Amino acid sequence: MIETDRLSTTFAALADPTRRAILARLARGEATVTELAQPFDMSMPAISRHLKVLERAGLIERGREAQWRPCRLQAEPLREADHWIEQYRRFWEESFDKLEEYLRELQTGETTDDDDHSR
Amino acid sequence: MTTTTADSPFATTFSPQGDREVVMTRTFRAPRELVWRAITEPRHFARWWGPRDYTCAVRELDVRPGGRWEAEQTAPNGNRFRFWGEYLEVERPELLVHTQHFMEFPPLVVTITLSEYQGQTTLTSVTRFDSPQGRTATLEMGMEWGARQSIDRLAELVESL
Repeated sequence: MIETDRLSTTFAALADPTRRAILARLARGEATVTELAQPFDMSMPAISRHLKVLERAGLIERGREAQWRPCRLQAEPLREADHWIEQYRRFWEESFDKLEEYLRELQTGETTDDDDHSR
Repeated sequence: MTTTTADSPFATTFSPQGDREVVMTRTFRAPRELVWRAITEPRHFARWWGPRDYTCAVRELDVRPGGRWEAEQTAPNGNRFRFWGEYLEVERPELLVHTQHFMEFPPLVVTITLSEYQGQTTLTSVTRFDSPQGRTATLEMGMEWGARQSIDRLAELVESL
């Protein structure tokens, strides 16, 4: 079982488009705060606040090298979030696939429908 | 995010919306009236609701505002999962709103709309959770399909959320 409080923190961190863009950038490799700030029209303190949220959620890790402190993606919370979404998707995707097949059966008369009392 | 299982116009789309909703659509090659019956009549509902390797037993589908529904999923290993709730809005054959309870988790509200176009029916389902945390907890469902995530998909995932 995935711990739900942790997942909530992950989803809250993911709720912001700037933070998702930062994560997407970090999925391609580590980067400094300056590099991360570049694509955004935002002040460095604003970017730093987003990074703190991501760090608290365990989604990124910051290097200890004093000057650069490069940011790295921490994949595990994202894996959990995606795993969770995947379970829900799978439940319904498989249900809808079965419904499609069943509707086809009903329409081709493969399933007897003679005890129909709904109309 | 909106994702589809295939390029087919009949594929399922799946889109988390905000922090507490999930929107799904699926188009069926069947008239709306038939789809309505498939989702509201017990003997039909039991035939399709749930994962492929699970079996579904319907205890009750009292499809009218205030009516109760209850169904049980049985996993291949014999584990049983009971789901139940109440119908809130019923407008045959186009709108069905119900609550869904699972174990002690906060209930969720599912709004299903059916629209027909040229003999095909599009089902849109909006699941609204009590809170982001409630969404998380409810969907655990005790069903372990196993993670199949790879680092390569992370960028794609966060871009699409």
